[in-house]
This record gives sequence, structure tokens and C-alpha cells, in this order.
Amino acid sequence: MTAIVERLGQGVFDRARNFAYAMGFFLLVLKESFFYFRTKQSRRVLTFQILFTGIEALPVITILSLGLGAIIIIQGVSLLPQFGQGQLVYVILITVITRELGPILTAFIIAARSGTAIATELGNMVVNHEIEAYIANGIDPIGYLAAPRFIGVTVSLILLNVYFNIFGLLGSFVVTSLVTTIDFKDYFFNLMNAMSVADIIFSFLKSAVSGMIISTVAIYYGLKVEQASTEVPVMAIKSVGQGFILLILANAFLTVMFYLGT
Amino acid sequence: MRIVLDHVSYSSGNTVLIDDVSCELEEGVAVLVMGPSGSGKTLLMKVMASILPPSSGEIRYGEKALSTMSDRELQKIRTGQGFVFQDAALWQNLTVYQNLALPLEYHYPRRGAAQIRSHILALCRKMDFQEDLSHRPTLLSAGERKVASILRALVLDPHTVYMDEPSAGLDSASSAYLLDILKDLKRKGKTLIIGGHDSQIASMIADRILVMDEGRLVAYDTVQNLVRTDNRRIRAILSDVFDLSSTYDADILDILGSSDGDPFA
Repeated sequence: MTAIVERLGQGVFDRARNFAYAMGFFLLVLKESFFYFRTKQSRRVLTFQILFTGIEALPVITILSLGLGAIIIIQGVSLLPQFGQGQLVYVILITVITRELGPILTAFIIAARSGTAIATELGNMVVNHEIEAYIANGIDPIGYLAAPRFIGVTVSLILLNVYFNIFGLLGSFVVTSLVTTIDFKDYFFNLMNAMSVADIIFSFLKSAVSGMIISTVAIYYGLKVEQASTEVPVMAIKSVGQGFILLILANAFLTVMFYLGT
Repeated sequence: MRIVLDHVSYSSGNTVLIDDVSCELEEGVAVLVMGPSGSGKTLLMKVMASILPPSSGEIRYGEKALSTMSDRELQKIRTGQGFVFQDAALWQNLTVYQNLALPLEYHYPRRGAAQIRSHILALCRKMDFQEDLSHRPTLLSAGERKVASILRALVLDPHTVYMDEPSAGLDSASSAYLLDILKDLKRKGKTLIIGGHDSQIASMIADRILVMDEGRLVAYDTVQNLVRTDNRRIRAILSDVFDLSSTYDADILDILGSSDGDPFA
């Protein structure tokens, strides 16, 4: 019995210590990111990160957002009028696409794409002693490698979320115009009526928090690789899994805060 | 810059990999770090170079202790040294040129691209490195990667140069160039800390030899003193580099002299 309690206690203690270490790591990355643009150094890593995370994800985000917008409007238009609530379809579109599903689905895609890529790349750099080479040459790996990835993923996620919103709402219009004769101006006007400034700010906030979570978790697990190349895929998988959990928790927390605040 | 190790240890988990090493390396000295595989040579060099933090003990660079240094002071220490890794450790996502240019661009951001290029090309000419600098490291042979790594270590004109097995993988012509580079660095008063068992480096370059065995420093002395040591373990380690056949002869005489026809006596 004592051994069980001991083991449980040790497990709790280890988790608490790992959490404290991870929080310290996050604060270090945040600090270096804050000072990133004050140093006169090449923005090569940042540029490539935005290109990979943002630009190259556009095709999959386009398809997902168009499809989601179409699905929501089909469900909404067919179900809501039965309850005399057909006018709520625009509110549902804004709530689902702009405030809830848009940010989290975009985050999931980026976590799976960029999160694994960052963790794998950094993990391989550890195994090949490239991180040690940066240190040996007086180049801080957090400032040079982690900060641009943190900034790049966060900025890309915010912009991708805007893109998701545009194409999600556009996808719903395309489907709507197939079944009814609705003017784009009327459709757009109804959407803007249903959308508030709080929705937009909240959507940006969720994207920014999601970007920070994805990048920090991926960098953390990538640099956690110790010796063997076999650890790299293990850490990449852990970064995605842990990232998904934290994304869901963060988004749920922010949603609760939103509803408590309004 | 003088480097002092004061009861330095390094552990990974519960395993002590470097155990209570104390020594002082004077400025401008050339030290050959020797020892069997797994003795901790590479680890010791990385700890000395502040790439890895010691688990206990203190390292002093000049008069300043590593544990009391600010980030800026530590960066200055690292900028003043070059490190050649055993496996080259070139940055794989950068071209050879970018590998050489990055330290310059990072530490001297106000220098123009033309000036940086000129410096790099001059260094390549000196080392007779004729490979295409626009290639990625994966396209180079092991020897070419090692030479590129040496160039990267020298690009900031460091006062202390660490080289882990620098001649491994080099052909005879490149090895000869390496010796010339080391002689030139020594002439300029650079501190050289070289890991390996190269006999030419031992005889032509090294002022002192530091011998590691199972994570412990077993000897740190001049070449002349060490070849006269009676310590069998040290002689066995040194025999890789120096011809120490007298130990073997003494052992044979011991065995023959004690025998009275009974091998088990």
C-alpha cells in the first residue's frame, strides 16, 4: 500500500516538475520572441516558417472551409425552418465558423502539419549535434531557431483563420445560391448583422493562443530528443497528441470565458 | 585565454561520465586529449567549451567563473572559440557557404555581404577547399565535411580552437594542410585543444597531453614526461601514438625471470 502511494506521489511530483519546466520553457521562448525584431539578424527562418505553415497550408484550408461552410448551411437551411427559426442560420454560421470550429479546425491541421515538422526537424538537429554547433558558435538556439518558429506559426494561424472564415462563409453562400435566389449583397449584409466585434476579437484570440500552443509544444518536444534518431518520431507524435489536448482545453476555456463575459 | 577546470564533473541521469577533473590550460598551449573510446574525451572538450554545463565544479575562463557569467559574457566566450565536432555537425538545411557565413552574419550584422563573402573565400583558399560552396553538406564526402567544419570553426578567428578527431576521414593531402593550419594557429598564439590519437599532431603540435580514462583525468603533462612514465595504463593509452615497446620487453623479462619450469608457480 505504501509503495502504491509512493509511486502515485512520485508520479504527481514528476508531472508537476515537468509542467513547471514546460512553463519556464514557454516563458523563455516568449521572451526571445519579444526581443526577436530588436536584433539585426536574418529573417530567413521566420520567412520559411510562414511560407511552410501559412502559404503551403492554403489548399487544404480552402477545401476544409468551403466544405464546412456548405455543410452548415445545408443543415441549417433544412432543419431550422421546421422550428420557425430560419433567420438563425446566419448566427449559427458566425458562431460555428468564426468563433468555434474555424479556429480549432485550423489549429488541428497546423498542429498535424507544422507541429510534426518542427518537432522532427529540431529532433534531427539534436541527434546530428547541430544544436550544439549553434551553441558552440555563440548562436542562441532559442533566439535563432525557436523564436521565429513561435512567431511564424502564431502569425500564420491568425491569417489562416481569417482565410478560413472568408472561404467558409463563401462556401455557404455558394450552396445557398444553388438552392435559393439570394443576392450576395443581401447575404453579406445578413452575415455582418449576425457578426459582432467580439466575435472577431475572440476568433483572433483563439488563433493566437492556438499558434502559441502548437509551436511551443512542437519546439519543446523536438529539443527533448536526447541521443537516438528513433526518439524523433516518438517526440513528434507526442507533440501532436499533447498539442491536441492543450488546444481543446484552451479553446474550451476561452469559450467559457466568452460566454461568461457576454 | 587561460582555462581552469576545478573539480569538474558531468553526469547524465545517475551515470557519472566525467569524474572530478581538475587542470589548468595556459593561454597559447596546444593540448592533445587522449584516451580509449568512451573515456570522456569528447564530453570533456564540450564541457570545457561551455557547450555542455558541468554537473558540479567550476570552470574559469581567464579570471571569470562560468557560473557567474551573464548571457552576454558567455556569448563572448563562445564567439572567441571554435569547435570542430567529430562528425562535423554542419547545419544540414544550409549550404556550405551559409554554414560559414551564419556565424559572421549573426555576430557582425553590420558587415556587408561582399565583405563576408571575401573573408570566406580567402579562408577557403587558405585551406585549399575547392568544393562548390552552394552545395548542401549531404553532397560532400566525409572528409570534405570535416574540412568545411574546420573552416566554420576558424571563420570568427577564435583565440581558442577545439578539434575533436580533426584528421579522421581526411586524405593525406588534407591532413598535411590541417597540420599546416595547426602550426599556423600555434604560431599565432592560439590555444589548441585537440582530441584524438594523431601521432603527427602529438609530435609536431602538442605541448601537453591530457589523458582520460573512464571519465577521470589520469595524466596531464608534457609529452617528454609522459613517455617516461611507469604507469602501465597510461603507457598503454599512449602506445597508440608513441612507440613504447620498452614496456612490453620488461613484461617479457619479468615472466621469463620468475619461471622455474612451472607455469603455475
